[in-house]
Amino acid sequence: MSKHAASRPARRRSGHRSGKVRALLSLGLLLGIAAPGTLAYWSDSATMQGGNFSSGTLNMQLSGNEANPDNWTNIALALGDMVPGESVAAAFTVDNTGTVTFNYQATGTATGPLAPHLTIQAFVGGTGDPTNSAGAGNLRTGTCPGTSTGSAQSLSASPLVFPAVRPLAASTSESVCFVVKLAIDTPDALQGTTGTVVEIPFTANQLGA
Amino acid sequence: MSRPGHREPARRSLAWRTVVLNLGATLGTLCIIAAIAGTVLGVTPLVFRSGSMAPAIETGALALSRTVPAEELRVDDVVSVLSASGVRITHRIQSVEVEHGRATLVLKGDANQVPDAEPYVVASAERVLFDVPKAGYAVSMVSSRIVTFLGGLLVGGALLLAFTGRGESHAGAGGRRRATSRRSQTKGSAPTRRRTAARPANTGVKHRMVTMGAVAVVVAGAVVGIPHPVGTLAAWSDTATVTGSLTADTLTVQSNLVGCATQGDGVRLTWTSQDTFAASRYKHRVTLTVGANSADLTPDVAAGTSHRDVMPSDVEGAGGGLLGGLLGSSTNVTVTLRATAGTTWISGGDPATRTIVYREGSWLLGETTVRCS
Repeated sequence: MSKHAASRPARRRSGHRSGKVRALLSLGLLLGIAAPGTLAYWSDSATMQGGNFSSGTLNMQLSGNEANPDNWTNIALALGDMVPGESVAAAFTVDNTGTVTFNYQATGTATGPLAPHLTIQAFVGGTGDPTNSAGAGNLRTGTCPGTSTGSAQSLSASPLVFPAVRPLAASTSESVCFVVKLAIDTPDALQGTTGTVVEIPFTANQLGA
Repeated sequence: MSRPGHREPARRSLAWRTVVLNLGATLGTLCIIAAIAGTVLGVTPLVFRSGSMAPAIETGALALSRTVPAEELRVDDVVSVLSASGVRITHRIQSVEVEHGRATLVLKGDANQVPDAEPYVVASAERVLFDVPKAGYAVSMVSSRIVTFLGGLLVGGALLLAFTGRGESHAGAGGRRRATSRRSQTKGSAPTRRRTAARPANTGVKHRMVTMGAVAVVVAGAVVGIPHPVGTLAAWSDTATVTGSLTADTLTVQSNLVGCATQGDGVRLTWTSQDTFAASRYKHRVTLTVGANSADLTPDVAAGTSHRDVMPSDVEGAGGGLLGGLLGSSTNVTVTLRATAGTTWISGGDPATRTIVYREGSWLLGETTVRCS
């Protein structure tokens, strides 16, 4: 460049000016860099894990049942002729049968005459079956394996049964178990009532949502 | 680099200078135009990170969206909102209720079976105008470190080429400095000095600084002002519901208060549990009635136990003591048995009853006793 420029000062000077303009225009690239740079923020933030893009499927099952749109009736989560103070334990697995990690949570709900007097307590990670005792002189009592996620909560408040959403990686399962108990002070008038239904809807959301 | 007799490298470096400056200027101008257009039109680019809007919008799509106020949101619009946890979700409106300029939106991903659990309350939302499949991957790639680095290198190189190498004062100015020197060597150093003096270095530096400062301010302002593409989750969700049913027991009347046997000064009453479960979960409440007085024996008989001893003191506590003045008298006492559970449940209907006899003792008749009738 030197030789040409040196031999033609005028053109050289104009070349320099246009060079400067072009160099300044190239600063516009910073906009391009800055803009998608926000994406890097997203992928680094705590709410997003793994890759930027996730394609695949999200599917949750309960012990291999889609349980959607039709509810899955768990025969273990049933107790007839309850008296106050009795409880029942039912265990099953939450299955991530999709290809992306999801967070799941569940809401304890109940309808029917006994609903205001029921409590629910959740346990996770247990192995083996829950026990439902029925020894002489005893109320029937359900006991879950695993770790309690918190104290028993009244189903009348439709509580979230887990204190925080639970992540579940693709192609894995987690054991959950619930103890549903009829309060000891259930009113006398509720003897013999039928039609109380416990429903525990689980919701799985893609990680980050 | 440009020594006498080495003109080929010189031409090559000139070509490089042109390429770097042109490329930088072209890409830079494109970015500036995009930024200005985005700002003026109020357009927000969205990069779809997941595919719950498939097949309408697949993972990796780049969509352009425009902010619209709550009143203009309609069912079936695809809008982008922030969830409570601060994540941008882009789904289709399933229902919308507008009140006081704020819309409560129920959104659902086309590929989801259920709407999002969380209703979104927004004053405005970004409505998707159109999307370009796969383009989001390219945008994302641009944000990668290596591309950022190369872009920075290009800008830096362009600035270096355009603003250095003048040779007036910097020793490290490279080829141009040497070229000038070479020319200076042929014509002597004086003209060069004179030329430099003709354009005072101070003015040149000031001019350059002002220019660069102005540019820096403009660039910084533009960077702040432009709408940045944001990642959005077209989040998948799924539900599953487990259900179970419960029924309440009806406590059975203890119809068979079957046994009564002498037990010391009193009697032992026995029964069989009518609980439908072998567990014999019921507690039992024994009530004594003497005339108009009655009292429950406390505490209730624990579940699993099917007998209760009734002693003279129990009867006296129930009102039998009122009869204590009657020498040698005997009084019928009615025993009632009920099943109980919890703190309030008690069997209804007609309870099982049985009559026992309280005999007041004396020096003549001996101890006070309770006997089966």
